[in-house]
Amino acid sequence: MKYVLKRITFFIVTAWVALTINFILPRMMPGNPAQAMIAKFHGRLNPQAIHALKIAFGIDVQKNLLLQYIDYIKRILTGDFGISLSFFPSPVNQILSYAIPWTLGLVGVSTVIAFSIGTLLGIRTAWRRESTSSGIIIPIFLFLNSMPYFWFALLISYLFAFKLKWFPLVGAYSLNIPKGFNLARIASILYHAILPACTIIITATGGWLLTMRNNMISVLSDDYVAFAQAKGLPDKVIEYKYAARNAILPSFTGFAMALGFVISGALLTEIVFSYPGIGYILYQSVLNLDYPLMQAIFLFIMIAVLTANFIADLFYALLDPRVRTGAE
Amino acid sequence: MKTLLKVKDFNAGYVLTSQRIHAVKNVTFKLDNGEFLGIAGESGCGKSTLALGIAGLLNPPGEVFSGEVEFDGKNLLKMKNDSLRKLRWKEFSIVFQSSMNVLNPVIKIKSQMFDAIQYHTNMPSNHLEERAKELLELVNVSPKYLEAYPHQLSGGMKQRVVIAMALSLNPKLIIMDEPTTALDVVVQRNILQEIDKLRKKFGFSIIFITHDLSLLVEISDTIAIMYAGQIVEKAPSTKLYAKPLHPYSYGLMHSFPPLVGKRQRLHGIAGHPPDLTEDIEGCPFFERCTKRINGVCDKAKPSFIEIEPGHIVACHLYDEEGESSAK
Repeated sequence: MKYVLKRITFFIVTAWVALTINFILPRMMPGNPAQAMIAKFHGRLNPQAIHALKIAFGIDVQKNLLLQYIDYIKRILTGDFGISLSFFPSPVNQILSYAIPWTLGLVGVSTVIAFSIGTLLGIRTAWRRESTSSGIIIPIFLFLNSMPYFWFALLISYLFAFKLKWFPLVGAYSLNIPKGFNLARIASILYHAILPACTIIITATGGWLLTMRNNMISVLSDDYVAFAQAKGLPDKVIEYKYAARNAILPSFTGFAMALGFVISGALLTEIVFSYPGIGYILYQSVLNLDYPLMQAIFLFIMIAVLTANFIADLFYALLDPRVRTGAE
Repeated sequence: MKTLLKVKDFNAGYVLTSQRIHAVKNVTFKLDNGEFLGIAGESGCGKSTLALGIAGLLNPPGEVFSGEVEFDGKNLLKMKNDSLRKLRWKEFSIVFQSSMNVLNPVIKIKSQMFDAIQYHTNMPSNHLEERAKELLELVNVSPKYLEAYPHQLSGGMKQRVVIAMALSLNPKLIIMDEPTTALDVVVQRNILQEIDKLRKKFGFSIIFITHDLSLLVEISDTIAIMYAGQIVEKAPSTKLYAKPLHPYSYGLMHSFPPLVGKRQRLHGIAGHPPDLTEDIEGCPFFERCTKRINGVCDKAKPSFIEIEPGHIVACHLYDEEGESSAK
């Protein structure tokens, strides 16, 4: 219980620090979103309109920094992130609430799949270290893992979407199918997700595999594994209950971190496939100097990473009893 | 007494890419039902390799080169993995050198005690709990620790838990490889006495491996002294204590202080054990021996001579006695 309280306090303090940095950074940069917006209209705005824009973006130079800060916190707590520049005049939270599900669905699911496959293969290849199948699997995944994933995305989209026309080239769903919850639409979404998901899964699995395999190999030389063997336990029990159960602990932290970063999207994959997720939106916002949108995205990424860490800490306590009591 | 374990011409060691370490050389001994055999020798003399080799637990790069291990009429070295697995723990169990780390750190003691019992017998789960409690009480650990994780136990308690686990299926043999090394002497003695009490109660045999000869003298029936992978002397412990024949045994016996009597200067054994990657011509102890016979000990390997019934030694000093008794 004390552990949980400690984690919660840590979570709140870090979140506050990050929020504050998120507030200070844009104000230390030259220019402000209102100026960027004004530039976009090439001086065809009257002073009242400029003032209105400044207020809309929360950059009121007449107010002092403290008041701005209080204003900023207030707006974040109420979920008001202002108005987007690149998608003017849509409010930022509307854009985000549209993009987040796509990213969570695509990147989230592929990360979970990549982690599961990679970890399982890591366990197997470490357990059967001498076998030929391990000798084949490891170099292949190492090769796939070291390939730049945007390049791999371009490659498979050229091959399977452009040349062979097996899969759609861009987008997250077919525009010809009526919106709403129906089978045709779900099928279309899955169909569109296959190539981008494969890009992520194929390139990311190798990393999980190697981490897990390394952990496994070091755990396999631990005494409790030898002792389990001496107890005459079946191989499967030794492999999973004794070896993998311990070896997964470091991998698990990495997995939680990765889940946190899911919200930032797989930037380049989303760009290659024009997938309307956060990564794609972030790219657009950077191109258009869309400060409010960027700020909101960074804020979301930060909160997601912190939350993922927080949940990972709680889960870790369940997985590793030594963390709970703070011993060793 | 019926013979439980026969080890004959046992050779084992480690195969590395550049060299081959011959850690156990031609070890032959017998163990009776209910016997307590102590194997003593300094670090690196092949004691642990012998123990693991007998139990079939020598993992690569470790390897058994040749020999026979006959346990209860079955040749362990020729057995298939699956049948050997069924024998393990049920027929013979092993307590490791590093007992502090043999418990899985993230799983409750309870579950680790249960799994071996469950796999080897079909004990219903409500009996498991009772059995585990009973076992912990045998080794003087409160049954409440069944719900604990290994890190919540002290070193001595972990050791006791491991011993309780080794007893769980009433094996015929328990191999103990320096089980008390990491503990302080008071706890060591305590645990040893408990082990001995349990042995008398349940009648299992023990192979007890240690570098601490003083521990063995008191408790074991028979002691074998190992040097450079070979057994150099084997005798009932009272005889070995009263009259160690091999110069190495003599050296070991005189390297720990007596508890009573006059203060005296201790004598260690000068020098280091030989390199096990090379074949040794003659007696392996030659280099360090104070009573060596030049021209004999460095040329010919001493063979075993039975000085008295049950007291055998491999040393050229006793060649003549051996001949005369042979006549």
